[in-house]
Amino acid sequence: MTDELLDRVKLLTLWPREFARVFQPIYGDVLSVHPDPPGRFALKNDMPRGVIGAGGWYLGDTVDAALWESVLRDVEPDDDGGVYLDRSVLAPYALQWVRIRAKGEILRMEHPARRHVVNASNVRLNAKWDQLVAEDIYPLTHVAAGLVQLQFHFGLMELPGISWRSRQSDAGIVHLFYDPPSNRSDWEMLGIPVPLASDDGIRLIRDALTAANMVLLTDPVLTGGTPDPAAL
Amino acid sequence: MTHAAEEKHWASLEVPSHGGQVQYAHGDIHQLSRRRASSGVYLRVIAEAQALTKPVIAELDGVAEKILHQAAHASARRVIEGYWEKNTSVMDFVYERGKQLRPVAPSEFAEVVEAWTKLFHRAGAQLGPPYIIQLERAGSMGSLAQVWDDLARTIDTAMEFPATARHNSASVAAPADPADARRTTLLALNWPTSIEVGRRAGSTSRNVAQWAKDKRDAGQLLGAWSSSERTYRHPGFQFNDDGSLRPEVRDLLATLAGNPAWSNISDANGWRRTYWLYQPFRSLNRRTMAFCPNVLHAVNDNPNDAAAVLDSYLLDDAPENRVARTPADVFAENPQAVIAFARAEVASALSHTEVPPVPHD
Repeated sequence: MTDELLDRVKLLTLWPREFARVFQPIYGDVLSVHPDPPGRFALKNDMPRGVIGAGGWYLGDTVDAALWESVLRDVEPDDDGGVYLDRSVLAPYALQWVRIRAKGEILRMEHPARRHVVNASNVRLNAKWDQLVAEDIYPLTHVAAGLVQLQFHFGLMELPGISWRSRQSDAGIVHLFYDPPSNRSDWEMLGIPVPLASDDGIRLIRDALTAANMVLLTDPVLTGGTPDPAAL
Repeated sequence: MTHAAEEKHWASLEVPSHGGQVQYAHGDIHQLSRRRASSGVYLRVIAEAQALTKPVIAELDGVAEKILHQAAHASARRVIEGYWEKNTSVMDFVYERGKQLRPVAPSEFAEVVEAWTKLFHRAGAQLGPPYIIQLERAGSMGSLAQVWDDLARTIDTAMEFPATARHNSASVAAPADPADARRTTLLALNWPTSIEVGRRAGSTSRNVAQWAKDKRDAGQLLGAWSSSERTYRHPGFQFNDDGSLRPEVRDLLATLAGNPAWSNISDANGWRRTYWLYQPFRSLNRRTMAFCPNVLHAVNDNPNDAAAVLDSYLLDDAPENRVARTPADVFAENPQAVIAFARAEVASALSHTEVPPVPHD
Protein backbone atom coordinates (compact mmCIF):
# COMPACT_ATOMS: atom_id res chain seq x y z
CA MET A 1 0.00 0.00 0.00
CA THR A 2 1.30 3.50 -0.82
CA ASP A 3 -1.09 5.11 1.64
CA GLU A 4 0.51 3.67 4.77
CA LEU A 5 1.46 6.18 7.41
CA LEU A 6 3.09 3.64 9.70
CA ASP A 7 5.89 1.15 9.11
CA ARG A 8 4.14 -1.20 11.50
CA VAL A 9 0.97 -1.21 13.58
CA LYS A 10 1.55 -1.31 17.30
CA LEU A 11 0.00 0.12 20.47
CA LEU A 12 2.00 1.09 23.53
CA THR A 13 0.99 1.03 27.16
CA LEU A 14 -0.42 4.10 28.80
CA TRP A 15 0.27 3.80 32.51
CA PRO A 16 -2.11 5.21 35.15
CA ARG A 17 -1.48 8.90 35.53
CA GLU A 18 -3.04 12.36 35.46
CA PHE A 19 -3.89 14.59 32.52
CA ALA A 20 -5.24 18.10 32.00
CA ARG A 21 -8.19 18.57 29.71
CA VAL A 22 -9.73 21.67 28.16
CA PHE A 23 -13.34 20.82 27.41
CA GLN A 24 -16.68 22.42 26.72
CA PRO A 25 -19.05 21.76 29.63
CA ILE A 26 -21.95 22.10 27.22
CA TYR A 27 -21.08 18.62 25.98
CA GLY A 28 -21.08 17.16 29.47
CA ASP A 29 -18.48 16.71 32.19
CA VAL A 30 -14.76 16.35 31.68
CA LEU A 31 -15.14 12.62 31.03
CA SER A 32 -17.60 13.17 28.17
CA VAL A 33 -16.34 13.17 24.63
CA HIS A 34 -16.83 15.91 22.08
CA PRO A 35 -19.27 14.23 19.66
CA ASP A 36 -17.79 15.76 16.50
CA PRO A 37 -14.41 17.31 17.27
CA PRO A 38 -12.96 19.62 14.62
CA GLY A 39 -9.42 19.30 15.99
CA ARG A 40 -6.26 17.51 14.98
CA PHE A 41 -6.46 13.79 14.02
CA ALA A 42 -10.22 13.56 14.54
CA LEU A 43 -11.82 10.58 12.81
CA LYS A 44 -14.57 11.41 10.32
CA ASN A 45 -16.91 8.91 8.71
CA ASP A 46 -15.68 7.79 5.28
CA MET A 47 -12.76 10.12 5.24
CA PRO A 48 -11.39 8.23 3.35
CA ARG A 49 -13.96 5.59 2.46
CA GLY A 50 -14.27 2.90 5.14
CA VAL A 51 -13.20 5.01 8.08
CA ILE A 52 -15.48 4.88 11.11
CA GLY A 53 -15.90 8.32 12.63
CA ALA A 54 -15.62 8.86 16.37
CA GLY A 55 -15.95 11.46 19.05
CA GLY A 56 -12.77 12.89 20.48
CA TRP A 57 -11.23 13.39 23.86
CA TYR A 58 -8.13 15.57 23.93
CA LEU A 59 -5.84 15.51 26.97
CA GLY A 60 -2.54 17.19 27.76
CA ASP A 61 0.07 15.94 30.16
CA THR A 62 0.54 19.56 31.23
CA VAL A 63 -1.82 22.49 31.52
CA ASP A 64 0.20 24.36 28.91
CA ALA A 65 -0.08 21.51 26.41
CA ALA A 66 -3.83 21.31 26.98
CA LEU A 67 -4.22 25.05 26.45
CA TRP A 68 -1.93 25.30 23.42
CA GLU A 69 -3.73 22.49 21.63
CA SER A 70 -7.12 24.06 22.25
CA VAL A 71 -7.85 27.72 22.91
CA LEU A 72 -4.33 28.94 22.06
CA ARG A 73 -3.73 26.87 18.96
CA ASP A 74 -4.85 29.47 16.41
CA VAL A 75 -3.31 32.63 17.85
CA GLU A 76 0.11 34.10 17.16
CA PRO A 77 1.71 36.98 19.04
CA ASP A 78 1.84 40.46 17.56
CA ASP A 79 5.14 42.31 17.22
CA ASP A 80 5.05 43.24 20.90
CA GLY A 81 4.39 39.65 22.00
CA GLY A 82 0.76 40.42 22.75
CA VAL A 83 -2.06 37.91 22.31
CA TYR A 84 -5.71 38.86 22.54
CA LEU A 85 -8.27 36.29 23.61
CA ASP A 86 -11.63 37.82 24.22
CA ARG A 87 -13.20 36.54 27.42
CA SER A 88 -16.41 35.78 25.57
CA VAL A 89 -14.53 33.44 23.24
CA LEU A 90 -13.07 31.63 26.25
CA ALA A 91 -16.44 31.38 27.98
CA PRO A 92 -17.44 27.97 26.54
CA TYR A 93 -14.29 26.31 27.87
CA ALA A 94 -13.09 24.91 31.18
CA LEU A 95 -10.00 23.04 32.32
CA GLN A 96 -9.96 20.08 34.67
CA TRP A 97 -7.58 17.29 35.63
CA VAL A 98 -8.48 13.62 35.13
CA ARG A 99 -6.72 10.38 36.06
CA ILE A 100 -6.71 7.04 34.27
CA ARG A 101 -7.00 4.30 36.92
CA ALA A 102 -6.10 1.29 34.81
CA LYS A 103 -3.45 1.02 32.18
CA GLY A 104 -4.58 1.63 28.62
CA GLU A 105 -3.12 1.54 25.11
CA ILE A 106 -2.42 4.25 22.58
CA LEU A 107 -0.54 4.88 19.33
CA ARG A 108 2.42 7.03 20.33
CA MET A 109 3.78 9.35 17.66
CA GLU A 110 6.11 11.41 19.84
CA HIS A 111 9.83 10.73 19.75
CA PRO A 112 11.42 8.38 20.70
CA ALA A 113 8.34 6.16 21.15
CA ARG A 114 7.50 6.82 17.50
CA ARG A 115 10.31 4.42 16.54
CA HIS A 116 8.02 1.53 17.46
CA VAL A 117 5.81 2.37 14.48
CA VAL A 118 7.96 4.50 12.16
CA ASN A 119 11.57 3.51 11.55
CA ALA A 120 14.03 6.23 12.47
CA SER A 121 15.62 5.68 9.06
CA ASN A 122 12.35 6.44 7.27
CA VAL A 123 13.08 10.11 6.80
CA ARG A 124 10.16 10.72 4.43
CA LEU A 125 7.56 9.27 6.79
CA ASN A 126 9.01 10.97 9.86
CA ALA A 127 8.95 14.28 8.03
CA LYS A 128 5.32 13.69 7.13
CA TRP A 129 4.39 13.09 10.75
CA ASP A 130 6.38 16.13 11.85
CA GLN A 131 4.25 18.19 9.51
CA LEU A 132 1.00 16.54 10.53
CA VAL A 133 1.44 17.36 14.22
CA ALA A 134 1.89 21.04 13.25
CA GLU A 135 -0.58 21.14 10.35
CA ASP A 136 -2.94 24.14 10.30
CA ILE A 137 -5.42 22.51 7.90
CA TYR A 138 -7.18 20.08 10.19
CA PRO A 139 -9.09 18.19 7.46
CA LEU A 140 -5.69 16.97 6.25
CA THR A 141 -5.00 15.51 9.68
CA HIS A 142 -8.46 13.91 9.61
CA VAL A 143 -7.46 12.12 6.42
CA ALA A 144 -4.21 11.04 8.06
CA ALA A 145 -6.01 9.68 11.12
CA GLY A 146 -8.44 7.90 8.81
CA LEU A 147 -5.59 6.28 6.89
CA VAL A 148 -4.07 5.14 10.18
CA GLN A 149 -7.37 3.64 11.29
CA LEU A 150 -7.66 1.76 7.98
CA GLN A 151 -4.14 0.44 8.49
CA PHE A 152 -5.08 -0.75 11.98
CA HIS A 153 -8.25 -2.38 10.64
CA PHE A 154 -6.16 -4.10 7.97
CA GLY A 155 -4.19 -5.61 10.84
CA LEU A 156 -7.45 -6.50 12.63
CA MET A 157 -6.79 -3.98 15.39
CA GLU A 158 -8.71 -1.01 16.73
CA LEU A 159 -7.18 2.45 17.02
CA PRO A 160 -8.07 3.70 20.52
CA GLY A 161 -6.17 7.00 20.28
CA ILE A 162 -3.04 8.85 19.22
CA SER A 163 -0.49 10.81 21.25
CA TRP A 164 2.06 13.29 19.91
CA ARG A 165 4.41 15.93 21.17
CA SER A 166 2.63 19.22 20.87
CA ARG A 167 4.22 21.46 18.27
CA GLN A 168 2.39 24.31 19.95
CA SER A 169 3.99 23.58 23.31
CA ASP A 170 7.09 21.47 22.84
CA ALA A 171 7.37 20.45 26.46
CA GLY A 172 3.98 18.76 26.48
CA ILE A 173 2.44 15.65 25.00
CA VAL A 174 -1.12 15.64 23.73
CA HIS A 175 -3.32 12.54 23.80
CA LEU A 176 -6.43 12.07 21.70
CA PHE A 177 -8.74 9.23 22.67
CA TYR A 178 -11.52 8.18 20.36
CA ASP A 179 -14.98 7.48 21.62
CA PRO A 180 -15.25 5.16 23.41
CA PRO A 181 -11.59 5.28 24.42
CA SER A 182 -12.14 2.85 27.23
CA ASN A 183 -14.58 2.18 29.98
CA ARG A 184 -15.65 5.46 31.58
CA SER A 185 -15.16 3.88 34.97
CA ASP A 186 -11.45 3.54 34.17
CA TRP A 187 -11.20 7.31 34.54
CA GLU A 188 -11.84 9.65 37.43
CA MET A 189 -12.35 13.38 37.62
CA LEU A 190 -9.99 15.35 39.84
CA GLY A 191 -10.89 18.63 41.48
CA ILE A 192 -13.42 20.92 39.88
CA PRO A 193 -13.54 22.52 36.43
CA VAL A 194 -11.85 25.91 36.09
CA PRO A 195 -13.83 28.07 33.64
CA LEU A 196 -11.25 29.64 31.35
CA ALA A 197 -13.03 33.00 31.36
CA SER A 198 -12.83 33.16 35.17
CA ASP A 199 -10.00 34.89 37.01
CA ASP A 200 -8.38 31.52 37.74
CA GLY A 201 -8.73 30.47 34.12
CA ILE A 202 -7.26 33.72 32.85
CA ARG A 203 -4.34 33.19 35.22
CA LEU A 204 -3.66 29.76 33.67
CA ILE A 205 -3.71 31.23 30.18
CA ARG A 206 -1.53 34.14 31.21
CA ASP A 207 0.98 31.70 32.74
CA ALA A 208 1.06 29.57 29.59
CA LEU A 209 1.70 32.65 27.46
CA THR A 210 4.29 34.01 29.86
CA ALA A 211 6.21 30.74 29.64
CA ALA A 212 6.48 31.46 25.90
CA ASN A 213 7.46 35.12 26.46
CA MET A 214 4.03 36.25 25.33
CA VAL A 215 1.56 38.51 27.06
CA LEU A 216 -2.20 38.19 27.37
CA LEU A 217 -3.60 41.59 26.50
CA THR A 218 -5.75 43.23 29.11
CA ASP A 219 -9.48 43.41 28.38
CA PRO A 220 -9.54 46.81 26.61
CA VAL A 221 -12.93 47.67 28.02
CA LEU A 222 -11.08 48.11 31.31
CA THR A 223 -8.11 50.03 29.95
CA GLY A 224 -9.20 51.65 26.71
CA GLY A 225 -11.02 54.55 28.31
CA THR A 226 -14.62 55.64 28.41
CA PRO A 227 -15.79 57.71 25.45
CA ASP A 228 -17.33 61.08 26.17
CA PRO A 229 -21.09 60.75 25.62
CA ALA A 230 -21.07 63.75 23.30
CA ALA A 231 -17.88 62.79 21.51
CA LEU A 232 -18.01 62.92 17.76
CA MET B 1 22.64 51.30 41.50
CA THR B 2 20.17 48.52 42.07
CA HIS B 3 18.70 46.28 39.43
CA ALA B 4 15.30 47.94 39.86
CA ALA B 5 16.68 51.27 38.83
CA GLU B 6 18.07 49.75 35.66
CA GLU B 7 14.68 48.52 34.46
CA LYS B 8 13.32 50.26 31.38
CA HIS B 9 10.82 52.55 33.03
CA TRP B 10 12.07 55.94 31.92
CA ALA B 11 10.90 58.28 29.22
CA SER B 12 12.78 61.27 27.92
CA LEU B 13 12.30 64.34 25.78
CA GLU B 14 15.43 65.86 24.26
CA VAL B 15 15.33 69.44 22.99
CA PRO B 16 18.30 70.65 20.90
CA SER B 17 19.21 74.31 20.86
CA HIS B 18 20.41 74.40 17.28
CA GLY B 19 17.23 73.87 15.32
CA GLY B 20 17.01 70.08 15.23
CA GLN B 21 13.92 68.06 16.06
CA VAL B 22 12.82 67.13 19.53
CA GLN B 23 13.36 63.45 20.27
CA TYR B 24 11.45 61.11 22.54
CA ALA B 25 12.82 57.86 23.86
CA HIS B 26 12.01 55.18 26.39
CA GLY B 27 14.46 52.90 28.09
CA ASP B 28 17.19 52.57 30.65
CA ILE B 29 18.05 55.69 32.64
CA HIS B 30 21.76 55.39 31.82
CA GLN B 31 21.04 55.18 28.12
CA LEU B 32 18.72 58.19 28.22
CA SER B 33 21.05 60.36 30.27
CA ARG B 34 24.24 59.32 28.48
CA ARG B 35 26.43 62.19 27.37
CA ARG B 36 26.39 62.22 23.60
CA ALA B 37 26.47 65.80 22.32
CA SER B 38 29.29 66.53 19.88
CA SER B 39 28.27 70.14 19.56
CA GLY B 40 25.47 72.36 20.75
CA VAL B 41 23.26 72.26 23.82
CA TYR B 42 20.57 69.77 24.70
CA LEU B 43 17.88 70.05 27.31
CA ARG B 44 16.50 66.71 28.45
CA VAL B 45 13.39 66.08 30.52
CA ILE B 46 13.47 62.56 31.96
CA ALA B 47 10.68 60.96 33.96
CA GLU B 48 9.56 57.62 35.25
CA ALA B 49 7.07 56.13 32.82
CA GLN B 50 6.02 52.59 32.08
CA ALA B 51 5.55 53.31 28.39
CA LEU B 52 6.02 56.11 25.91
CA THR B 53 2.37 56.90 25.45
CA LYS B 54 0.78 60.08 24.20
CA PRO B 55 -0.11 61.22 27.73
CA VAL B 56 3.51 60.71 28.76
CA ILE B 57 4.71 62.70 25.75
CA ALA B 58 2.25 65.46 26.59
CA GLU B 59 3.54 65.47 30.16
CA LEU B 60 7.16 65.77 29.04
CA ASP B 61 6.21 68.52 26.59
CA GLY B 62 4.41 70.38 29.37
CA VAL B 63 7.41 70.27 31.69
CA ALA B 64 9.78 71.50 28.95
CA GLU B 65 7.42 74.32 28.06
CA LYS B 66 7.03 75.28 31.69
CA ILE B 67 10.75 75.42 32.29
CA LEU B 68 11.57 77.26 29.10
CA HIS B 69 8.62 79.61 28.94
CA GLN B 70 6.36 80.04 31.88
CA ALA B 71 6.65 80.96 35.49
CA ALA B 72 9.61 78.71 36.13
CA HIS B 73 11.53 80.47 33.40
CA ALA B 74 13.30 83.09 35.41
CA SER B 75 13.96 80.97 38.48
CA ALA B 76 15.09 77.97 36.44
CA ARG B 77 17.50 80.12 34.50
CA ARG B 78 18.87 81.60 37.67
CA VAL B 79 19.61 78.19 39.11
CA ILE B 80 21.16 76.94 35.90
CA GLU B 81 23.12 80.13 35.34
CA GLY B 82 25.39 79.44 38.30
CA TYR B 83 26.46 76.14 36.82
CA TRP B 84 26.61 77.49 33.30
CA GLU B 85 29.22 80.01 34.29
CA LYS B 86 31.42 77.19 35.62
CA ASN B 87 31.56 75.74 32.11
CA THR B 88 30.17 72.43 33.37
CA SER B 89 29.46 70.07 30.45
CA VAL B 90 26.53 68.23 32.06
CA MET B 91 24.17 69.68 34.60
CA ASP B 92 21.51 67.57 36.33
CA PHE B 93 18.57 69.01 38.24
CA VAL B 94 15.46 67.79 39.93
CA TYR B 95 12.26 69.59 39.07
CA GLU B 96 8.98 69.39 40.92
CA ARG B 97 6.01 71.44 39.83
CA GLY B 98 5.70 74.61 41.88
CA LYS B 99 9.24 74.31 43.20
CA GLN B 100 12.62 75.58 42.11
CA LEU B 101 15.08 73.46 40.20
CA ARG B 102 17.34 71.60 42.59
CA PRO B 103 20.82 70.74 41.36
CA VAL B 104 21.97 67.14 41.70
CA ALA B 105 25.68 66.51 41.95
CA PRO B 106 27.05 63.75 39.70
CA SER B 107 27.94 61.77 42.81
CA GLU B 108 24.29 61.88 43.93
CA PHE B 109 22.72 61.08 40.59
CA ALA B 110 22.61 57.30 41.03
CA GLU B 111 21.22 57.65 44.54
CA VAL B 112 18.46 59.97 43.39
CA VAL B 113 17.49 57.68 40.53
CA GLU B 114 17.35 54.70 42.85
CA ALA B 115 15.14 56.54 45.33
CA TRP B 116 12.72 57.54 42.59
CA THR B 117 12.62 54.06 41.17
CA LYS B 118 11.52 52.73 44.55
CA LEU B 119 8.86 55.40 44.78
CA PHE B 120 7.75 54.69 41.24
CA HIS B 121 7.18 51.00 41.85
CA ARG B 122 5.46 51.63 45.15
CA ALA B 123 3.10 54.09 43.47
CA GLY B 124 1.97 51.60 40.86
CA ALA B 125 4.17 52.77 37.98
CA GLN B 126 2.32 55.98 37.29
CA LEU B 127 4.20 58.82 35.68
CA GLY B 128 4.68 61.45 38.27
CA PRO B 129 6.89 64.21 39.45
CA PRO B 130 9.66 64.90 40.12
CA TYR B 131 11.52 65.03 36.84
CA ILE B 132 15.19 64.94 35.99
CA ILE B 133 16.22 67.96 33.96
CA GLN B 134 19.53 67.59 32.22
CA LEU B 135 21.42 70.24 30.31
CA GLU B 136 24.34 69.03 28.24
CA ARG B 137 26.64 71.20 26.20
CA ALA B 138 29.60 70.53 23.95
CA GLY B 139 31.93 73.15 22.57
CA SER B 140 32.15 76.79 23.43
CA MET B 141 28.71 78.29 23.86
CA GLY B 142 27.42 81.80 24.08
CA SER B 143 25.35 83.23 26.87
CA LEU B 144 22.75 81.13 28.62
CA ALA B 145 20.12 83.70 27.64
CA GLN B 146 20.80 83.07 23.96
CA VAL B 147 20.79 79.28 24.41
CA TRP B 148 17.58 79.51 26.42
CA ASP B 149 15.86 81.39 23.61
CA ASP B 150 17.08 78.80 21.08
CA LEU B 151 15.75 75.95 23.20
CA ALA B 152 12.41 77.73 23.59
CA ARG B 153 12.20 78.21 19.83
CA THR B 154 12.82 74.51 19.22
CA ILE B 155 10.10 73.43 21.60
CA ASP B 156 7.71 76.02 20.12
CA THR B 157 8.29 74.64 16.64
CA ALA B 158 7.74 71.08 17.84
CA MET B 159 4.47 72.00 19.53
CA GLU B 160 3.08 73.19 16.21
CA PHE B 161 2.84 69.54 15.11
CA PRO B 162 0.19 67.28 16.64
CA ALA B 163 1.30 64.84 19.31
CA THR B 164 0.53 61.94 16.97
CA ALA B 165 3.05 63.08 14.40
CA ARG B 166 5.70 63.48 17.08
CA HIS B 167 4.81 60.13 18.50
CA ASN B 168 5.46 58.56 15.10
CA SER B 169 9.03 59.82 15.03
CA ALA B 170 11.65 57.17 14.46
CA SER B 171 13.26 57.83 17.79
CA VAL B 172 10.20 56.69 19.70
CA ALA B 173 10.70 53.26 21.22
CA ALA B 174 7.95 50.70 21.69
CA PRO B 175 5.99 50.99 24.91
CA ALA B 176 7.19 48.83 27.77
CA ASP B 177 3.86 47.42 28.91
CA PRO B 178 2.90 44.81 26.34
CA ALA B 179 -0.45 44.15 28.02
CA ASP B 180 -1.58 47.47 26.55
CA ALA B 181 0.98 47.83 23.78
CA ARG B 182 -1.35 46.90 20.94
CA ARG B 183 -3.52 49.94 21.56
CA THR B 184 -0.51 52.26 21.61
CA THR B 185 0.89 50.67 18.46
CA LEU B 186 -2.41 50.88 16.60
CA LEU B 187 -3.06 54.48 17.61
CA ALA B 188 0.38 55.36 16.27
CA LEU B 189 -0.86 54.30 12.82
CA ASN B 190 -2.57 57.66 12.67
CA TRP B 191 -5.99 56.33 11.70
CA PRO B 192 -8.41 59.04 10.58
CA THR B 193 -10.41 61.00 13.11
CA SER B 194 -14.13 61.68 12.73
CA ILE B 195 -13.38 64.96 11.00
CA GLU B 196 -11.03 63.30 8.54
CA VAL B 197 -13.48 60.49 7.85
CA GLY B 198 -16.26 63.02 7.24
CA ARG B 199 -14.11 65.05 4.87
CA ARG B 200 -13.08 61.98 2.91
CA ALA B 201 -16.72 61.02 2.60
CA GLY B 202 -17.44 64.45 1.14
CA SER B 203 -19.66 65.58 3.98
CA THR B 204 -20.75 69.18 3.48
CA SER B 205 -22.22 69.48 6.95
CA ARG B 206 -21.01 72.33 9.13
CA ASN B 207 -20.16 69.69 11.69
CA VAL B 208 -18.24 67.38 9.43
CA ALA B 209 -17.43 64.93 12.27
CA GLN B 210 -21.13 64.13 12.67
CA TRP B 211 -20.98 61.93 9.56
CA ALA B 212 -18.63 59.47 11.29
CA LYS B 213 -20.69 59.48 14.47
CA ASP B 214 -23.86 58.70 12.51
CA LYS B 215 -22.10 55.82 10.75
CA ARG B 216 -20.76 54.46 14.05
CA ASP B 217 -24.18 54.67 15.65
CA ALA B 218 -25.70 52.89 12.65
CA GLY B 219 -23.17 50.06 12.94
CA GLN B 220 -21.51 50.89 9.64
CA LEU B 221 -18.18 52.14 10.95
CA LEU B 222 -15.96 51.03 13.82
CA GLY B 223 -14.32 53.67 15.96
CA ALA B 224 -11.58 53.11 18.51
CA TRP B 225 -11.55 55.64 21.33
CA SER B 226 -8.32 57.57 21.88
CA SER B 227 -8.34 58.63 25.52
CA SER B 228 -5.47 61.05 25.20
CA GLU B 229 -7.06 62.86 22.25
CA ARG B 230 -10.64 62.54 23.52
CA THR B 231 -11.81 61.46 20.09
CA TYR B 232 -12.36 58.36 18.00
CA ARG B 233 -9.85 57.00 15.52
CA HIS B 234 -11.15 54.70 12.80
CA PRO B 235 -9.19 51.54 11.90
CA GLY B 236 -7.78 51.87 8.41
CA PHE B 237 -8.89 48.51 7.00
CA GLN B 238 -12.44 49.91 6.73
CA PHE B 239 -11.55 52.29 3.92
CA ASN B 240 -10.80 51.98 0.22
CA ASP B 241 -7.68 53.59 -1.16
CA ASP B 242 -9.69 56.69 -2.06
CA GLY B 243 -10.80 57.02 1.54
CA SER B 244 -14.38 55.88 0.98
CA LEU B 245 -15.95 53.50 3.48
CA ARG B 246 -16.08 49.88 2.36
CA PRO B 247 -19.70 48.67 2.23
CA GLU B 248 -18.79 45.24 3.66
CA VAL B 249 -17.87 46.86 6.98
CA ARG B 250 -21.55 47.00 7.86
CA ASP B 251 -21.93 43.20 7.47
CA LEU B 252 -18.75 42.58 9.43
CA LEU B 253 -19.87 44.76 12.35
CA ALA B 254 -23.36 43.23 12.29
CA THR B 255 -21.79 39.78 12.47
CA LEU B 256 -19.50 40.76 15.34
CA ALA B 257 -22.44 42.31 17.19
CA GLY B 258 -23.93 38.81 17.35
CA ASN B 259 -21.58 38.37 20.27
CA PRO B 260 -23.06 40.49 23.08
CA ALA B 261 -19.53 41.38 24.24
CA TRP B 262 -18.84 43.02 20.87
CA SER B 263 -21.81 45.34 20.54
CA ASN B 264 -21.60 49.13 20.39
CA ILE B 265 -22.88 49.18 23.97
CA SER B 266 -20.67 46.61 25.70
CA ASP B 267 -17.66 47.58 23.59
CA ALA B 268 -18.28 51.32 23.65
CA ASN B 269 -14.64 52.25 23.20
CA GLY B 270 -14.35 49.83 20.27
CA TRP B 271 -11.13 48.24 21.43
CA ARG B 272 -12.36 44.67 21.97
CA ARG B 273 -13.35 44.44 18.31
CA THR B 274 -10.26 46.34 17.22
CA TYR B 275 -7.96 44.03 19.19
CA TRP B 276 -9.64 40.99 17.63
CA LEU B 277 -9.43 42.47 14.15
CA TYR B 278 -5.70 43.04 14.61
CA GLN B 279 -4.96 39.66 16.26
CA PRO B 280 -2.87 37.37 14.00
CA PHE B 281 -4.55 33.99 13.45
CA ARG B 282 -2.87 30.97 11.91
CA SER B 283 -6.10 29.85 10.28
CA LEU B 284 -6.08 33.05 8.21
CA ASN B 285 -2.78 32.26 6.53
CA ARG B 286 -2.91 32.06 2.73
CA ARG B 287 -2.36 28.30 2.59
CA THR B 288 -5.20 27.46 4.97
CA MET B 289 -7.58 29.89 3.32
CA ALA B 290 -6.84 28.49 -0.13
CA PHE B 291 -7.65 24.96 0.99
CA CYS B 292 -10.90 23.55 -0.32
CA PRO B 293 -12.28 20.53 1.60
CA ASN B 294 -14.02 19.36 -1.57
CA VAL B 295 -10.61 18.24 -2.82
CA LEU B 296 -10.58 15.57 -0.13
CA HIS B 297 -14.16 14.49 -0.62
CA ALA B 298 -13.44 13.98 -4.32
CA VAL B 299 -10.75 11.39 -3.62
CA ASN B 300 -12.25 9.72 -0.59
CA ASP B 301 -13.30 6.60 -2.45
CA ASN B 302 -9.70 5.55 -2.86
CA PRO B 303 -7.28 5.68 0.10
CA ASN B 304 -4.34 5.85 -2.29
CA ASP B 305 -5.75 8.98 -3.92
CA ALA B 306 -6.44 10.52 -0.51
CA ALA B 307 -2.86 9.78 0.55
CA ALA B 308 -1.55 11.39 -2.63
CA VAL B 309 -3.58 14.54 -2.03
CA LEU B 310 -2.38 14.58 1.56
CA ASP B 311 1.23 14.36 0.35
CA SER B 312 0.76 17.15 -2.15
CA TYR B 313 -0.50 19.52 0.54
CA LEU B 314 2.13 18.58 3.08
CA LEU B 315 4.83 19.21 0.49
CA ASP B 316 3.51 22.71 -0.16
CA ASP B 317 5.95 24.39 2.14
CA ALA B 318 6.10 28.00 0.93
CA PRO B 319 6.78 29.83 4.22
CA GLU B 320 5.10 33.04 3.12
CA ASN B 321 1.83 31.16 2.70
CA ARG B 322 1.98 29.97 6.29
CA VAL B 323 2.33 33.37 7.93
CA ALA B 324 -0.51 34.15 10.33
CA ARG B 325 -2.63 37.12 9.28
CA THR B 326 -5.07 39.37 11.04
CA PRO B 327 -8.72 39.77 10.01
CA ALA B 328 -7.86 43.37 9.15
CA ASP B 329 -5.10 42.14 6.81
CA VAL B 330 -7.41 39.73 5.04
CA PHE B 331 -10.37 42.11 4.81
CA ALA B 332 -8.74 44.15 2.04
CA GLU B 333 -8.61 41.19 -0.34
CA ASN B 334 -11.41 38.96 0.90
CA PRO B 335 -13.98 40.64 3.16
CA GLN B 336 -16.41 37.74 2.86
CA ALA B 337 -13.84 35.35 4.29
CA VAL B 338 -13.35 37.64 7.28
CA ILE B 339 -17.09 37.88 7.80
CA ALA B 340 -17.30 34.06 7.72
CA PHE B 341 -14.40 33.83 10.16
CA ALA B 342 -16.13 36.33 12.46
CA ARG B 343 -19.36 34.35 12.21
CA ALA B 344 -17.57 31.18 13.32
CA GLU B 345 -15.87 33.02 16.18
CA VAL B 346 -19.19 34.46 17.36
CA ALA B 347 -20.89 31.06 17.09
CA SER B 348 -18.10 29.53 19.15
CA ALA B 349 -18.44 32.23 21.79
CA LEU B 350 -22.16 31.59 22.02
CA SER B 351 -21.89 27.79 21.94
CA HIS B 352 -22.06 27.41 25.69
CA THR B 353 -25.54 28.89 25.71
CA GLU B 354 -27.07 27.70 22.46
CA VAL B 355 -25.99 24.08 21.93
CA PRO B 356 -27.95 21.51 23.92
CA PRO B 357 -25.84 19.23 26.11
CA VAL B 358 -25.04 15.73 24.94
CA PRO B 359 -26.21 12.98 27.31
CA HIS B 360 -23.48 11.16 29.18
CA ASP B 361 -22.61 7.57 28.38
